[in-house]
Amino acid sequence: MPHSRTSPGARPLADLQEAIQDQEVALGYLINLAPTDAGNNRVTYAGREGPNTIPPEGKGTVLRVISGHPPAEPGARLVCSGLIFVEGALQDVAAYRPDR
Amino acid sequence: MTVARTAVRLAAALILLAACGCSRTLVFAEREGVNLSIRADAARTPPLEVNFGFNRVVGTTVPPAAEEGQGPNAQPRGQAVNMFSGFRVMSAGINTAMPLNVDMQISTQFASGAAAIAIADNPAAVAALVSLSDGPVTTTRSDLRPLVRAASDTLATFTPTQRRRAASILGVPGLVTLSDTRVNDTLSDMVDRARNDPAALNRFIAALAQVRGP
Repeated sequence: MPHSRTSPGARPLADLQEAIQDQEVALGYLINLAPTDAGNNRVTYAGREGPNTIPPEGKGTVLRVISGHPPAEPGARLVCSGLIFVEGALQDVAAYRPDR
Repeated sequence: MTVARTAVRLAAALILLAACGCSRTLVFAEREGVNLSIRADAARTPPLEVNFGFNRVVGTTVPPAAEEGQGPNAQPRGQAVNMFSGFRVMSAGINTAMPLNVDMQISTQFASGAAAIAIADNPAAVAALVSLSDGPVTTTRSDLRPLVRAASDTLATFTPTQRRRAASILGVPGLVTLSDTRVNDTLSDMVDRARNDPAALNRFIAALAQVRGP
């Protein structure tokens, strides 16, 4: 089942990505990012059921600041995109899952 | 779409208790309505629109702490029963090839009476109850990363029976009442919390080793 966690909205994007990649090892792949009314970000992981439900080493979810429609990322697929808090301000961000 | 309705069943049980003639019974009833509308059109921007509607009604009948007077003239006296509740709606990612096949989980929990009083002076316990264990997003201590990955990889190879044995060794409370899925989730939460706690991580790894054997 999915697991939900909260990240401070003041975090830089690189720090958020690093924390998500670390947490995916315990809780499974990222499936959603969303801002909260309190200025934080709600991070949801898919849960971990079997050997293919956590990313291999170095293949954790990648976050990119985008403008408009999320572009295709070679070697990865789009997980979700939308506004989240980055360093205290809302920014359009896309999450990509690298191919295994 | 799958909707978990544990709370409704619990409320129904409480209502049954009230109907059986129990006095001073707290009733917690809940009704949920969910509507999901998805429109996919590759020629539009955005190509996929999802509208989610949710209607929830919660009602409680709470007995007073005491009554003054007798019969129809009795008046409630004192505070009502203490109660905390938490609520969460979660859905997995939407597969655009099967947009109507969405698993959704609606979680709710509450503590009342003595249980609510017992946790009232424990902010962490109250927060865990009302937020349904929503923890922080944190990095892993760099020296523990290989151990966390090894523990998670090992756990991923376990059967439900092996996971249950590991949970038993680790002292997971109420284990007999937990489903296999909940046992797995609890172990995942334990790995997550142990990522920066070497002692907890070592206990976890030792339990996995004990289950796996030589």
